[in-house]
Amino acid sequence: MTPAGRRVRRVWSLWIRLLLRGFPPSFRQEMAADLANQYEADAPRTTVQFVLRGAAAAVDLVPAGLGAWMDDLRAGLNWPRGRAGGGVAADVRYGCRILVRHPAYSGTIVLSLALASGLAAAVFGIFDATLVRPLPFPDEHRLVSIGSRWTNFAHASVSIPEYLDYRRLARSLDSIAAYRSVSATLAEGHAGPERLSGAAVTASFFDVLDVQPALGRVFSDVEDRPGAEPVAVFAHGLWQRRFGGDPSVVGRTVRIDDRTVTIAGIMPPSFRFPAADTDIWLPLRVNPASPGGRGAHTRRVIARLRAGSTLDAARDELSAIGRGFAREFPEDYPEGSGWGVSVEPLRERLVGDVRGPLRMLLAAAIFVLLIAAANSSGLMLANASERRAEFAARAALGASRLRLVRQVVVESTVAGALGGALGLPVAELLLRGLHAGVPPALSRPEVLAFDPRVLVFALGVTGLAAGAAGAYAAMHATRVRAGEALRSGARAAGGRSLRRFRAVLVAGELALALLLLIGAGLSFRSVTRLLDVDPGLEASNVTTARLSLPSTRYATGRDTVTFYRHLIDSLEAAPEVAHAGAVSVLPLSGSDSDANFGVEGYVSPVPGQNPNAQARFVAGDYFRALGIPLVRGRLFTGADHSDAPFVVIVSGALARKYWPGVDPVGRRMKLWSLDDDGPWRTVVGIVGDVRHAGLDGDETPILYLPVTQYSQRTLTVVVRANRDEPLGRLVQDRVRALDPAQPIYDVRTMEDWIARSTAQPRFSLGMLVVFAGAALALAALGVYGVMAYMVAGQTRELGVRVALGAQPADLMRLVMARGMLLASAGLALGLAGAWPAARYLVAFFHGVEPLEPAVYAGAAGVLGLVALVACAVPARRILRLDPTAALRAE
Amino acid sequence: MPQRVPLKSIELLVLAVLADGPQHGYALAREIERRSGGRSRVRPGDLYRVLYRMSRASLVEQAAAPAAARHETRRTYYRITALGRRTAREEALYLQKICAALLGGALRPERSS
Repeated sequence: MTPAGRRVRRVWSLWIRLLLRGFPPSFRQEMAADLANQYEADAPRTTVQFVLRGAAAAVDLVPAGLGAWMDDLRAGLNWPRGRAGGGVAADVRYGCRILVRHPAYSGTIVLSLALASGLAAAVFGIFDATLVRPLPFPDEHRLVSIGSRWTNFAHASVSIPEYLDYRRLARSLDSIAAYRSVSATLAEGHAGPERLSGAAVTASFFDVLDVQPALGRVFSDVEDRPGAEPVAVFAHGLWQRRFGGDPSVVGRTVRIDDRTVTIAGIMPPSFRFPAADTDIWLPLRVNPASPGGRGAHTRRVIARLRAGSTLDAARDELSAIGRGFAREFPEDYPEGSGWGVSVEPLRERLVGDVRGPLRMLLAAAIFVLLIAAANSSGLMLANASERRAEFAARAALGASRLRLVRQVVVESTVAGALGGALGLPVAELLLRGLHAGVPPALSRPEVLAFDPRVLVFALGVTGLAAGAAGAYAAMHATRVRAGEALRSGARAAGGRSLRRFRAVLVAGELALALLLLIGAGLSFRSVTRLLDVDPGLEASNVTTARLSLPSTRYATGRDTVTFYRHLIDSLEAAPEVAHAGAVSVLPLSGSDSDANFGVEGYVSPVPGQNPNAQARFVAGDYFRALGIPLVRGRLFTGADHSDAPFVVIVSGALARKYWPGVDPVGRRMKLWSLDDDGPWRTVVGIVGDVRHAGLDGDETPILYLPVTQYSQRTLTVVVRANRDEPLGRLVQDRVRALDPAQPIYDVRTMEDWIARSTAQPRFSLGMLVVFAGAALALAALGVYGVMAYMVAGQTRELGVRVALGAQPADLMRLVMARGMLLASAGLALGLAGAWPAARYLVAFFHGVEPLEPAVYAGAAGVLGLVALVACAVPARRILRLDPTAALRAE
Repeated sequence: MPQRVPLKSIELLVLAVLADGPQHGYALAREIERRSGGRSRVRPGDLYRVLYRMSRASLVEQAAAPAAARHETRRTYYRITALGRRTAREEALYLQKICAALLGGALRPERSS
């Protein structure tokens, strides 16, 4: 035999053995060798033969293997053979007939499962898109974010010298990149100048993320050096928007920030990093010869772990490098500053914050699904027990019990699958509605779309839930001895244990519903308290807009100061404007900016560490425009110009912290540190505190400086109107009058900023209210079902009692008391579970305690009332009971 | 006895061949093909699945190779069990009844009227 022939033979043998793995183990033990011999005795000799006969062998062995499993299964279950028993298909047909014949029964099951599975699938969709699906980068688990850790800062920015050292020293990293967000003005186009949100990135940025441009190229190391020809990489969206997707723009030049820039390439639409709205990537142009201060922590850093390296290894290595910094440059990393290197998975940085809230919502959705399943199970139980006579008849005719159980399970699964299928449009609608409503932080909208996994989830979960419920019901209902059930034909026999089981189910439903109601109540409490928090400013009638003046047209600080002064003056001249000003960073905008400083006479508890606080640069009448009150001293005036004595205003929290028990007005301080060469600045006033970071945050210590004495290119204009009227248009017109090439962006009312800052808790609240509402409806249905069944089952007994002289109203009260006993049991169970659940929940809800008596009482009250109504409706039938008819009925 | 009748046609054919004496798998397949006049082509996987099922139901069992074929140690022989024999007979009678009824009734040669 030729060597090639021998190889074919060996591979053939492997192929056959692989196919034989599809058979049950006992088959393989007994017969596989013999069967393999048959194939091997006649091995193919050429590759062509191998392919043809290999396929034929697969066609033979794969179905035979599956068939052997089926045979085993049938033999094990004593499952009737196809010809003898009638197939599953017949069961499905029969089940459909039953469902059609009982529309109230099947409709309730199908609709409640549809509602619940739709809710669950929608939340699962968000959960999956945000937390489960990988980030759209190859090997994303190797991507990390590198930050600086300080006391009070877990993962802050990195300075360029630090970045360069990490790049030079870290062996555990494959590649590393630095970037920062920038804004740029694109002059081209018919719509006038457009402000772009962009990122200045090192050339390695694209290597770290391992993405390729859709067109053209990304920029090279050479283009990333200072003084290189300007290039830019465009986002797909910008390319479509401004150039209609014209591929010939690659290599062309555009005017960006008054410079001629070559378009190097276009990124694919899926690439949206660092932000979903990033339009453009520009070279960061790190200069290794003059990297800037080690203490200037202004860059974000991401890196890709070397293949085979681990997060822990990178943490160890970078921490060691960081300790080296502290030894070499003690003045930049003083002892007690808490300095360290923080290495986090990139995914964790992007979605870590929303994991908790999303898990909570998914848990809530699953609760609703459980309630719906319990409900359906109860209905199926009732239905199955009503059919005991039918089952008994079939058993008498020779049907095995397994056969009957299968029948019921198939019916339930059909109902469940129908419910799941109907749940899909519900999920689809919800997701579409959510597209607008999901806060950007909570999801990546581009992947939040309908997807087959959601379908599998919905169908699988409801099918399983219904099938399991049906199986239980069937086991119960088919426990019949043929003669007995046929004789009595009644639901009475064995009915008690069924009733008890249904009661347990309903109590469980009520308990879960109460948990959801309490969750929604806590969330509501939290949001109302949050919205009641005084942000420290007067948001109504305030419009804001952001501007970034390019250095090409506004070369000096004096130019920018003059522009902003003219703009603010022209705005204040408008009759509809009460006050106008500008600030470097707007409260509640999600951004911040801090600075070190030194206070005359203040000794830091940590030697060498300067005080640090948020720093704001303000222009015009900012404090009055935003409604921040003056507490002492005075506000900035036109007299505080660049040649006048340097001044500063502090917030109340900052004053309390650094001048405790002293009036700070008239005291002196310096920016950066007391050793700094800069001028002394005198405190001239104290203003009220604002909650800069969010309504759930603390009052932020803030230092305010006038832009006249520390100029800024990028400011947010703040305009207070005389009445409730957005002034975006006015700001746009006044800016255009001063400089037609200057775009404005982020034009929003202050109320909109506040709403955005609370978007996530409000979204959670909305979802929880929907879930609690659904749970309430389903639980009411459950109580109603159990009561209706109880009343119907006792018609005869009640009839006898009425005939003997009992008052129907007394009987009704008796029956209702039984129902309410059940409801109370459910409520008690729910309250018992609420305490541990609430302790878990309060982590996500700002400002609520686990034990909020009003919430608990309110939720229990609402649920109790609903249960009472659900009991009363069927119980009222007793009042119309006709004893003679009731006695004849059976 | 577990409910075995009616058998599948392949099962009856296996019993029919083995009723004449033990066989190994390959010969069994050839013989089934021959007896069916080439109409039943049995693929090895199918045949062994059926043999496995039938041995589970104690209709057939593995047997020692006949003395004449002792040198062919790699082959497993199968033989019919007493239960297999009874079942085959029952199936044959059942089929006979059906066939007789058919041929004497609905499928009676048509008479011109």
